Amino acid sequence: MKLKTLLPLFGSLISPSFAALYSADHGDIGIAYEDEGDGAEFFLHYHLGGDAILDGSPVGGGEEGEEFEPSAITTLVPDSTQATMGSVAVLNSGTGVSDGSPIWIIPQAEADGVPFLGIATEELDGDLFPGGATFELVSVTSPSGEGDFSVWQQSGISAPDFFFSTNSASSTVDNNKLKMSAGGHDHFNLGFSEEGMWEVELSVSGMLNGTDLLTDTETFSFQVGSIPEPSAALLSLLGALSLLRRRR
Amino acid sequence: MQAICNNKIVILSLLGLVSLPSPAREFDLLYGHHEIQTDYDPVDGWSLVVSYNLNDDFNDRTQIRRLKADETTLIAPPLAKGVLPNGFSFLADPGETVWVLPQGFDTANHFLGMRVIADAGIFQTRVGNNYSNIGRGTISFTLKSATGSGPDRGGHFAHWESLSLGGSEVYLSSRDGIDESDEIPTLPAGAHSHFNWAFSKPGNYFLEFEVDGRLRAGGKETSHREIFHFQVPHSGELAQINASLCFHNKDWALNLRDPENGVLYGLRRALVVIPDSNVGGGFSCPCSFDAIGSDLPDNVGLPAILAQSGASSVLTGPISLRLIEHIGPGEVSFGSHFQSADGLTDADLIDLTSPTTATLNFTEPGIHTLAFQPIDSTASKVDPLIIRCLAGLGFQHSFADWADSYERAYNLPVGSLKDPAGDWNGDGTNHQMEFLLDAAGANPVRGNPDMSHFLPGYDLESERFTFFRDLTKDPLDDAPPNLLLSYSSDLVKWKTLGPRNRGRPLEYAESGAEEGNAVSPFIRRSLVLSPTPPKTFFRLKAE
Repeated sequence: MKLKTLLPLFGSLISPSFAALYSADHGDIGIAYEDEGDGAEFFLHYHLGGDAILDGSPVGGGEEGEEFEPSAITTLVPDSTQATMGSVAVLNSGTGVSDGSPIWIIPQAEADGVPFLGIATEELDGDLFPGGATFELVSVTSPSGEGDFSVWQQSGISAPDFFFSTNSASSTVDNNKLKMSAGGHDHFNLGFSEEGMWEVELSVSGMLNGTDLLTDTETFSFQVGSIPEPSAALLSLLGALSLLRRRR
Repeated sequence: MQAICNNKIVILSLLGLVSLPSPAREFDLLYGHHEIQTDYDPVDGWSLVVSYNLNDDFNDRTQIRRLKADETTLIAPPLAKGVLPNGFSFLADPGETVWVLPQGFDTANHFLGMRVIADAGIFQTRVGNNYSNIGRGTISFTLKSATGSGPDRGGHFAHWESLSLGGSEVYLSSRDGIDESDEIPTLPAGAHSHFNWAFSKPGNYFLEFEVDGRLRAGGKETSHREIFHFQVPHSGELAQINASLCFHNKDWALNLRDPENGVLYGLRRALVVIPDSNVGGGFSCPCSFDAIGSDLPDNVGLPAILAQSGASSVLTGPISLRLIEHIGPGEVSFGSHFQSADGLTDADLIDLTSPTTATLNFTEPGIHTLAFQPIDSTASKVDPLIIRCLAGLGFQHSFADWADSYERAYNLPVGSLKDPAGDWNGDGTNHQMEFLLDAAGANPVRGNPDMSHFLPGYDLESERFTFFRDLTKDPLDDAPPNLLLSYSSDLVKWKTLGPRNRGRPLEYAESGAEEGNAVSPFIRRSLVLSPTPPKTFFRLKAE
């Protein structure tokens, strides 16, 4: 069964931002189909590698790392990821960031001191989910309420493919949906148009044996740019106390 | 044998009921998530292999499976092919055709990563050209050479990372020569990253890579080299016939030369595409036949010895080639040497004492199969030697074009073959499957001739289920029709391989079964099962 912690009790007292801070190395937003006591279900979760940095220390757990409830983690998009957008129509439209404006990006390629955050269906069996899984962008809450979030991939010699875009759903491959085959794992650029705390609500769906629809929806938190000092200290303390780890 | 299963027409091949020895470990991979993996262990040292994870969980080191570099070929699939835009001068010029195995996952392509399996703390960490004992430690990965028929014909290899906001971080590129700058300076211990791998000409690329690192214990430099084989298919498309009759050790071959591109196509590995001649009707192309061997660098679907052994040089006495069958709409003629209009007889003969050149002409558009019989003093029995032509049809013609061509070829009522699920000749194989297996010799009207080498079946020599893929009709993407390979031990539960379920080479996977040192879109494939079950059923499905 899912591990219970004190976090739900604090839910009405503290912001979701006071979760453990994932700040570097490899991790995935993953989908699993497993029985944790209530019958087999879909579970959206974080799967952080053993070297991923959580609250300043490696996650541990050996090669496989650990899994976490999305509410237990805030992913840091550090200052070092800030870039200035150029004049590229497809990028301007997809990211909602105009020429010359800043954008913070969790990059699709591994970079030192930055979360290398992928999206994974590797825990799904292709025989059970022949159609794979579909991730969908449900809602985004930006710090100002006016910011734009986007997910895209640059690959090969093609123009970038946008999968999620709050600025222009019509610019995306499939109207803010990302389809992945079972047993997959890929990396994307996650773009944020302003600093501060973001909440990104994702749902995932898949057809068990090609017939039975399964879904799950979770909210993922991102701290873009620097962390306010008092929050950083508290965040680390509470994060350590309230970590929601999932069994593998 | 053929059978019906689950209301789908399938082709089955039944193995014996005893255990069979495992087939040779050779892997020709057309797609899948694999890695160029570096292992380093203080006791065992280096290894550099192609790898994958048995459970697809790349956090789980215990489930890694390794394929030796010298037993593995990575073939660029059809959807790797593209036209280069501006901004990739490190690979080729804009407008050139290139083949890219992309950094991002694509169902119809390879997803080739780089992985480093080494414990943290073994190597020093490199920053620039300085080393320290901080961090997990890093290794470097360098390109030492790029050889093979691809580079020989001017092809280049490049390897780069796509940047988030456009542009490329180029690590390896042979176009400007290969030197110390062709390196990935740092791959951290435990790394699993993806890059773009690209090639600019068809052929073979043997890429020699070196991994090296500086050990924390004693500061000693250590390195290892390995050669990896990539293959870019030749087009399989010819504009004229330049045929060479060869003979070696009872085997005959009527090969098609493409001297401009340095490739020789064996049986059924190429299509001759003939446009409308616009000169008095008909569809014509230059055509020559000889019995002289070829010495082109790439041989598709035949061993080098059968490419080189011209029949006139290894046999005594006169040699000729007789047209014994034309399958296709209308008539065919080749100068005064043969013509089908008055029926094919012993007189429809090409004397190959010396090369013979004339114009080949078809009177009607469609798919044309020409079957030849070599005539010589040995009078040996031989399967028909086939040349396939498309008159007035595109290289990637449609199912409707296929149906129309065979309807006219056999004077069937219009629409007889138009239903993909239909089975006009009642042979248990539906039209969709016969369309996909057209290059293999499937015939929707007459019934399928005995050509076990090409039609699906169990190959005793290789001990594998083999079949023939036409990648022009099924480019391995998710769009129908897909030619899907399945197997079962009980005829109830079937395991299917396809774009969504790619298999695992050391357990079950589609692999190669091709002869020669090069490939085209018409490619013989096989199913690898390991360990081989005592009883296995196979089928191909068209979906």
